[in-house]
Amino acid sequence: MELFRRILFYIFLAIYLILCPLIVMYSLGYILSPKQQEIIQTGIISLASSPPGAYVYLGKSRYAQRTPTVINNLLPGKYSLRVAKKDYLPWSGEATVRAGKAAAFENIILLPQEWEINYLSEGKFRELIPLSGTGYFLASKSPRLGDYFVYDRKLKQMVPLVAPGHHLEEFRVANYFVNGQSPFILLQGSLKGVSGQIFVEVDSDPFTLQDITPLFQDRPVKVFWDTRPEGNLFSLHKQAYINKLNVDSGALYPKFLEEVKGFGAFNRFLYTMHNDNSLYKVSYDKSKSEILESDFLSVIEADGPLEIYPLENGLMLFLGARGSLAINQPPYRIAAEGVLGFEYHPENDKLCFWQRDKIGVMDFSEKIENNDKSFGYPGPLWVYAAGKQIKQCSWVHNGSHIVFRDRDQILFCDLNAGDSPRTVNLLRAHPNTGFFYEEEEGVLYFLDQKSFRLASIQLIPEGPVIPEPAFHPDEETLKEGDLN
Amino acid sequence: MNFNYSRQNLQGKEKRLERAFEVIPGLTSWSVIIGMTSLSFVNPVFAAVLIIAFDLYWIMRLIYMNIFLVLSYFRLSSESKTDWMGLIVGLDRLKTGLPREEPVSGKAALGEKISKSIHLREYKYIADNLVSLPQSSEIMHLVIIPIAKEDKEIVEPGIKSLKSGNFPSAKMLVVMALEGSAPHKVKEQVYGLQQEYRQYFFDLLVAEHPQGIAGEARVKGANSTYAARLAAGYLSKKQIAFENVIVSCFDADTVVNPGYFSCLTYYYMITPFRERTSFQPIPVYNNNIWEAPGFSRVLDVGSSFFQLIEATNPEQLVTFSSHSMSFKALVDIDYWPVDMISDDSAIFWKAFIHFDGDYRVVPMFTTVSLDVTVAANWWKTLVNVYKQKRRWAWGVENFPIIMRAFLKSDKIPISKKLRHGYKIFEGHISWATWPFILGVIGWLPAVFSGRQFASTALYYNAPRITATIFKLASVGLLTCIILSLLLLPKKKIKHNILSRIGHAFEWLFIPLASVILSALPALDAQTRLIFGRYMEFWVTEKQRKH
Repeated sequence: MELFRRILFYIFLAIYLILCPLIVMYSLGYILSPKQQEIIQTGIISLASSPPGAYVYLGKSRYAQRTPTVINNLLPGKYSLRVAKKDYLPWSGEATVRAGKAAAFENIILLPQEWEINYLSEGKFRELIPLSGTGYFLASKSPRLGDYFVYDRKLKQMVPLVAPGHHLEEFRVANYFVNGQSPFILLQGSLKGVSGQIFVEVDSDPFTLQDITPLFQDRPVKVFWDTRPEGNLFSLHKQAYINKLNVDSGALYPKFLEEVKGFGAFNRFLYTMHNDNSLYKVSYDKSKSEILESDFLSVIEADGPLEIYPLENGLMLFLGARGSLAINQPPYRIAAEGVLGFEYHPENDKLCFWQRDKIGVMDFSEKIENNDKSFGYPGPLWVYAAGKQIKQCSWVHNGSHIVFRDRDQILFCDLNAGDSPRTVNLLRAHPNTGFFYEEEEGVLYFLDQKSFRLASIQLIPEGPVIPEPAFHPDEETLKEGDLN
Repeated sequence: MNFNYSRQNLQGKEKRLERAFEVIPGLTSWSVIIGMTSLSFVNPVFAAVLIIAFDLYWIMRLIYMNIFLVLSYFRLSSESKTDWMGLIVGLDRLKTGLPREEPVSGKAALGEKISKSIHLREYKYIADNLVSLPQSSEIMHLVIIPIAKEDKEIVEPGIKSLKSGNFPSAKMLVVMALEGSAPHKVKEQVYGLQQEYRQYFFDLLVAEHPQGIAGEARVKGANSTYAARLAAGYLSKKQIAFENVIVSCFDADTVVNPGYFSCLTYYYMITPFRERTSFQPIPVYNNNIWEAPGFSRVLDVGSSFFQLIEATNPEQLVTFSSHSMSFKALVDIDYWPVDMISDDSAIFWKAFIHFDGDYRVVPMFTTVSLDVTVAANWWKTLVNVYKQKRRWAWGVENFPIIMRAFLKSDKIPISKKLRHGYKIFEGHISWATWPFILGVIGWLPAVFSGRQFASTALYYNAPRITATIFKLASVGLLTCIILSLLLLPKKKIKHNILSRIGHAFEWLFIPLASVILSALPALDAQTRLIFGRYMEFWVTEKQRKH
């Protein structure tokens, strides 16, 4: 036994000493090239699609496995990719494979050849108001509050915002304010000729409507609140002051802050820029106040009320009255003017913003080194520049795509296709109103262009929306010789 | 070598050396865990490469150990029908020439044939090498059963197993080493057992260990030593030579195989330097195995497997749990350490150092059965299993003492110092770290990877390689499942195929159990040693249902 043990030990030791470097080299992408008879470092392409099970083509070769899959042992170079599945439009892209690296295409969405449109209402609607990031949207048939509905995704039906006979039923909505990620909406309008302000919470059961008209002594330029306002609203007025309004107690704190030209609310703090360009962070009860760095503020065009949006990643975004967009870290200025709106994707740490004719994406996930050795975020990547009148954008499928509205056209931009994002037309919708995209279900809600009925399409095929981690142990590899 | 095998009463350099060696195992384990975790964040590529290399090393070692587990199990089962008493009689007759080789029946199982062939080879070796054999009639067994607070229902089956074995119990001196601090009821029961069973043995003594003897800690070794000293006096009075006495120190719940003492006597007789040898049976945990929760059962069956594997490597075998040795050697080395918890392994190291490395352990392919840790409820059992494993892992307390002795001794061969030193060190480090690396840290580079790592080929290849390795490991797991089902005793009641399948599935808990109930208690023990928070004996609660 002793001798056997010793022999076996040395056999195992020898196997380990041979296998270990080979496996480590293989894991790093090194293989023995049969053509060149030398060790070369290869790369990988990882593919995942929704729906899964699509065929994969590399150039003209069809890969043995279907999506999701990993193709390894690929010589460095450019590869044209095509992913195809019956009844879906084929997806194509270009992959640049580098030695020891992986080119990941893990958010491929295969769009159906024909959309199956679900009509969710019989009656006509005139407007769809998305409360982005909340899972709720409103739709109205007329300016009358009694004709406002909230879509209940569980019941899959429109629920009236006020019951028939409600004293606000005849309130006529003229304008509204929403704040991103917040399930509240402030409706401005009038009831029997008297102007009023109704603050609505749509994720309560039943919906909470508070008539807060007495809290508005003069017409505000802007009303804003936190994601979870806990009763606190803030109104910015022409004379550069901010009122604090508590909708629960009905208390008004006039001129809560003065000489303000920029404002924002986040995580129970107010962010304000004052006329002297100083930037403050103030708690709602003013018990805590700190001045934030202000070196960069000169680059911001504050030619009117400046909106300040602190992001989850610690950055602050500044949107000027003429559409200038800036952040508080290099490169500071994102766009000089014309930005109409933006949407931030916290998981991916990306920001998409739009102007009248184009859409840009800022990637905050990684800093780059500039020529002067300083570090900063890369400038915007313009992903679409053929717009006519872009009105709304929304992140789709874990931030890998953007769905947007350009006049009456809803379009779909694929950021996953390699170096140049591709855009396809999805459908036509009611020209003067928004759409609502619900990420959890992958459903796009809109008002039908012809019938004005509320409709939806299953934009992302049902199943897991967020792709599984790259872990595909059973794939086969294409022969390296077949590809180059 | 004259060496005080203790960490007590050290002065100056010796004390500093002891403390330094006390810190090393825990510091190494923590360095491995923290280092690998940090590396997973700082340099995930390098961490992933290291983890692949480690996983490969682990799977190869697993396969290697599985081979010896199967061989060892086969050897154990092949000895299950061995007539040890017949072999002893054969040895007694060896002086008049080799016994006639009895033809092995053609119908005999392969194991039986192998067993006979092995023992015949042993006979030939003795004859060829003129090994001096003691007469079996001269051999006496001393059995020490330490009792702290165990009830009669725990102790009595062990005493019955001594009486009903195939070695004459009249040649056994049994000493029940009763802790003076034991509850009154336990004391009454012990004296009751003495009255009831004394007639069956050469004698059955009760050694009541007084508390507070200078230099002693509250440990089992102190109790056993007190009993052994008492037995020494008794044997001297009876003029029985210590050379002919084999001492077996059991746990209170140890139930021996009927052939245990005849097997032990046989091995004692054929071992050339028997006074420099300990004899190690395979401990199995069958007494109450069907009453234990799955995780407890699986861990203890795992311990049996470990001993089965160790039994194939006598060069590095160390005594564990119930074991036997020459009483003369025990007296020569001044008995068990009286201030250490891990008396079972410490006695080997004490002898090894005392005899300048000329001491070894001979594996015996017979079993002693012990209790699986079972408490009143599932949670208490979990806590008790944790404490028991921590106590086992506290065997790391031997490391600093052994290292001091190795540094001091110029007679112990350097090769033995290196081999044993590495084994004890590596054993404790791998015990405390491997389950963490395999179960938790190994996945960190992928989970916390930044974009840079996520865009490498390694990011995609590492999980595939690890998955392949783990698939291979499942073959090893399957071996364990099959052997565990073969090793377990027949269930008396409710025995059906479904429950067997259920017991097989218990092995799927091994990855979790090995982190929580193996690596964590080991790390706990090593950390205590770092900070000098020395453990005292904690009696494992054991229960049997009637």
